[in-house]
Amino acid sequence: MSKEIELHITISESGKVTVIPKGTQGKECLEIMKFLDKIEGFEITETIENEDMKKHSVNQEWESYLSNDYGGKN
Amino acid sequence: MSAYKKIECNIVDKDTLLEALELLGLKTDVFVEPRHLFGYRGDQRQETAHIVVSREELNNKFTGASNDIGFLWNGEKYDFIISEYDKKSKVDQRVIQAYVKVALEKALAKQGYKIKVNINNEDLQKRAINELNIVARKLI
Repeated sequence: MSKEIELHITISESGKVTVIPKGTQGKECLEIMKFLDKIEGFEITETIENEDMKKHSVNQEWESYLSNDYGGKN
Repeated sequence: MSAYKKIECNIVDKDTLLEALELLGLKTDVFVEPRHLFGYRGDQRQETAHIVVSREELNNKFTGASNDIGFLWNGEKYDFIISEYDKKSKVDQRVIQAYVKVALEKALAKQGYKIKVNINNEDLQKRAINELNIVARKLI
């Protein structure tokens, strides 16, 4: 099933750009925003993770622990 | 919502630059060999550029006593040549903001996004400069 995603983009008076995605999170979000890295002349100065992203990382670590260590012993 | 990105921009694409200057209502002169810029008194400056916006154009649109501004291709990107006076009048910011807008809109369209911008193109040609907000939507 398809879903709608949004990018909320602000271009400041000095031309600095901030992009905030909505309707997506985690790996999918990073994948969706990859095209920004490829625009010629654009330089990504900062990628900031929000709470969703941090939770995602923790879940990944936990899954990795279960499959490699805990899972391995059983 | 997830990560967000902060981006800065160099001027690298000639077509995008020309579109950005057009968006601001500025006529340009494009040269194969760089040409000298001229100051507000008509005096020739030592700086040269491949793309020039004349002081008259700037005076008509945004300022009062501008010097020519120019863009000199250095093999990797355009060096933006601008006087202190025009910097104080935020001409550089205006051009970079328009360049970023054009470059982003092209990239978003390529990715299949539909775009809504909070400021009309005509308003970009007014003296006041404002933050631009774009909302890009697509179904995935």
